[in-house]
Amino acid sequence: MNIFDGFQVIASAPQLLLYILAGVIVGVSVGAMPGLSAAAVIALIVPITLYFEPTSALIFLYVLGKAGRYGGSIAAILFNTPGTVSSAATMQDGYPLTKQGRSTAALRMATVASVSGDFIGDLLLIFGAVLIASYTETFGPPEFFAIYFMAFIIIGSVISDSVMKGIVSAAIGVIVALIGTDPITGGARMTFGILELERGFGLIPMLVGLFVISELFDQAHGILARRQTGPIMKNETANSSAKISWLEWKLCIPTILRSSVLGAFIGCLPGLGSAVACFAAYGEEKRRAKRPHLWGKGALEGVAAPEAANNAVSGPSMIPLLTLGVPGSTIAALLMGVFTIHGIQVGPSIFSTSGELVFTLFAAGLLGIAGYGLVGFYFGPWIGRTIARIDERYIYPFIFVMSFIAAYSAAYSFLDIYVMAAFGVIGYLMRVFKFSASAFIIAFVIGKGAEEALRQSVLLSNDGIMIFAERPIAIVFICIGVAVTLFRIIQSFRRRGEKTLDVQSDGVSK
Amino acid sequence: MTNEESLTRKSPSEFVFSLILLAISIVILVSGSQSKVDEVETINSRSLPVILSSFVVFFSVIRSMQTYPGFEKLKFTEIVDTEMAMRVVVPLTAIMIGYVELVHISGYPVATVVVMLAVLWIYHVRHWKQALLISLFASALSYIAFAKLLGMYFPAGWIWKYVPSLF
Repeated sequence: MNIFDGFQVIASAPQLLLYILAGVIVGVSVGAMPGLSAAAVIALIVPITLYFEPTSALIFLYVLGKAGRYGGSIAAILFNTPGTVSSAATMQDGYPLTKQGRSTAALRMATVASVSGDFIGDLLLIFGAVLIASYTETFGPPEFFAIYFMAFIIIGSVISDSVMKGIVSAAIGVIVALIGTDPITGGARMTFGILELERGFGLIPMLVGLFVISELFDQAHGILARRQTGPIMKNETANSSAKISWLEWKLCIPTILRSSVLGAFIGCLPGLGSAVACFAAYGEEKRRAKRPHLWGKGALEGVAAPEAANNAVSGPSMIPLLTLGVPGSTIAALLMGVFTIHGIQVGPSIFSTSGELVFTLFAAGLLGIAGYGLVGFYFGPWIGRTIARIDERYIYPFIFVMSFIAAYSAAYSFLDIYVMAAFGVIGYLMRVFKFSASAFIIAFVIGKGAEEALRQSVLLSNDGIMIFAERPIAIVFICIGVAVTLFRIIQSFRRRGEKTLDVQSDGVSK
Repeated sequence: MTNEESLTRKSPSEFVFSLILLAISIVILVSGSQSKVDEVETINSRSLPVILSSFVVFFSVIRSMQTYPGFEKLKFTEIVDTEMAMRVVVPLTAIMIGYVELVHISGYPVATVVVMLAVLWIYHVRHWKQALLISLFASALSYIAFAKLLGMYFPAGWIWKYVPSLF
């Protein structure tokens, strides 16, 4: 199987093109809505896709995730509000360009950069995943536990501003995953005598609670605080210039290429994600800039760099999922849930057991990139203007009802609604106190697998836990995880020291 | 009080949150340490729950100390507008739980209209005609899409068994 077989499958089943188109339209529109992330929408839509064939469901959600990541740039450029976290860096130069009457040029540059970055990332996915999978097929439980351990502490330490809060979020995610029946002894664990808890918590109600309900709380909080909503802007895109000079193209093309490679590399590592990639690329390109004085005031390179990097993450973030069964991002964790629901085992053997599906997914990803590129290039400003006219107060109640249906329909259980409500409150508290819902959910998804790998490793060995010291690959993964965490701890101590110095110098000047 | 003013007000919210986290993690630690184990296993079903919940207990204790309102320097605490948060979280959660009961009583379409009206009110929509129209539209659209087209099952609502007898 190869990528051309994937295209052939799509050509032989034209309805798949409709799923790609639907993914593009829903993704771009939802991504462009301030506050509503692609992950939240995927969580809402997953139960509906249970009625689809696995290939159609996965294609639709995968393309939706890609287009949603791009759509975030529209909100960042036009409304100074990132539609997704990964577009936060785009605002810094995107919105000043809108104020200068160059929003169409900024949107077009964002589209070109996103398409280029996503394409480069997908090339790495297509050629890299097969190679890595052929190598990881030889891994046993100790190597897998080492990978889970590495993913757990990298996700925990990198995904959140506070290393400790990130790791605690991941730890709670694993604890929640372990509630239910023990996979080896078959006994009930941490169920408090509640029979329903023996099957554990369902992924979908938890996802909807953590990502959608907590967002609804947050938006309601914002609306109450502002006491007014209405359009954020109306006419700034109406007469804006779409012209990008040759000099600007000359400055942006190398920026796009460098940022795409950086984003693709960051995407391969579990947990780092597009938010890290966009700020890393923005910082690096600002440092290299030929016109640094324009950065932050409306430099097109300041739009190109984060957009290329954050979209380049999309493809490679699937590499850990497909080759190791470890989701690299929230969207990958959601897709892992969808794979599992449809009975497809993710991991190194997926290329031999479901090769056709995987290459069809890759081909759909490439077509999706072309699709959102065309939609964004020609209709981006129009989508932005349309969304600006919609009063968000009418959208969120509808999403509230959709959440109810999503949580209920996964297992036709009203208990799941209570689970969703509880995790909605937990998700909201996590936002307020700066814990990470993404670290929680990724750890929840890998938690059971990690425990099984650990216990199998120790059962297989005569030396108990020392089996990990006898496996060089396991040592490498554990060391990478520990090194990244130590680096983040040192970095956060330095930042805290700088902040304290700033506060002290402010006090002296007053 | 403006939002900015209320946000700058120092509150003990994170201290309370840390105490709740501490209580929950102790309960999980105790429960995790009581689960059935296989004597053959060195690392058994208790190991990960106990290790991880002990870590969360440790973190919660440290965090409770850092955010204790009695300390003069509250530089580590997150400042939360608790009053505003409660005005959102409590009613929306209550509506969600009420929605389940209402679906059992009146069936999905009627329950959805009532719930949509309540949620629109919380989102500060005060034009009742608009709100009613949107609620009816959302209820009808979602019922047709999910119950009729996708074939999802929703309870019919027991009240409808008694309504014909009223006439």
